[in-house]
Amino acid sequence: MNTGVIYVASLIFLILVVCSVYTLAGDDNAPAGVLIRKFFRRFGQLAGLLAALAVVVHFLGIL
Amino acid sequence: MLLLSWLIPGYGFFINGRKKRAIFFFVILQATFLLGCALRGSVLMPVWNFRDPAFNLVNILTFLVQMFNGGLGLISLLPDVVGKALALLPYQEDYVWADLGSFFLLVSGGMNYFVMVKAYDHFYSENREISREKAPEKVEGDRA
Repeated sequence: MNTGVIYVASLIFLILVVCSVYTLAGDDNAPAGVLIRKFFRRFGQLAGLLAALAVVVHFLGIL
Repeated sequence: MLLLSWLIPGYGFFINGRKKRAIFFFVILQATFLLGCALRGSVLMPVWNFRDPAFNLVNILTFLVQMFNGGLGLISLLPDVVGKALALLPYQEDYVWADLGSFFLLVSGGMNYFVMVKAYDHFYSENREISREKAPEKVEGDRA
């Protein structure tokens, strides 16, 4: 299988694991709606941060 | 509780009535660990002697974090410590995906540490009642 596909799929899976476990373990009393919102916000933040890092690394590789 | 939570992810939540959440933690953390094993990742015993040329601090930190998923971590460590006859999980250090697999193990161990600490924090720490009472208000105002 394509190397890139495996890495991107792994990345998405691991972000899902980290965000879901962090949200469910950290916010014990929050209602489901709040938990889901927090999960998506954290998923977006972490994915965005890693995407930004990937762009930086890409341009550093060009230099 | 901490020892059993280390061996069995989600145990601390399970015995305190958060059964669905505990089962979710168990399934997701063990699945992550086993996926890493399927990629031939394994827990490797690092070199502890700093005079040894093979000494590497990153390897030691990786080992410590991976071992926070206690049950599967110990099983994965067996072939490196005892011998390959006890390799219950896939074990091949030079496999092309072994590093990625080890990263899965790292995430699983790190998140089990977080679950352990949060279980203690929610159910056993001195200020647990305060945190339970104030949690809904805090959640509404918390945007982090």
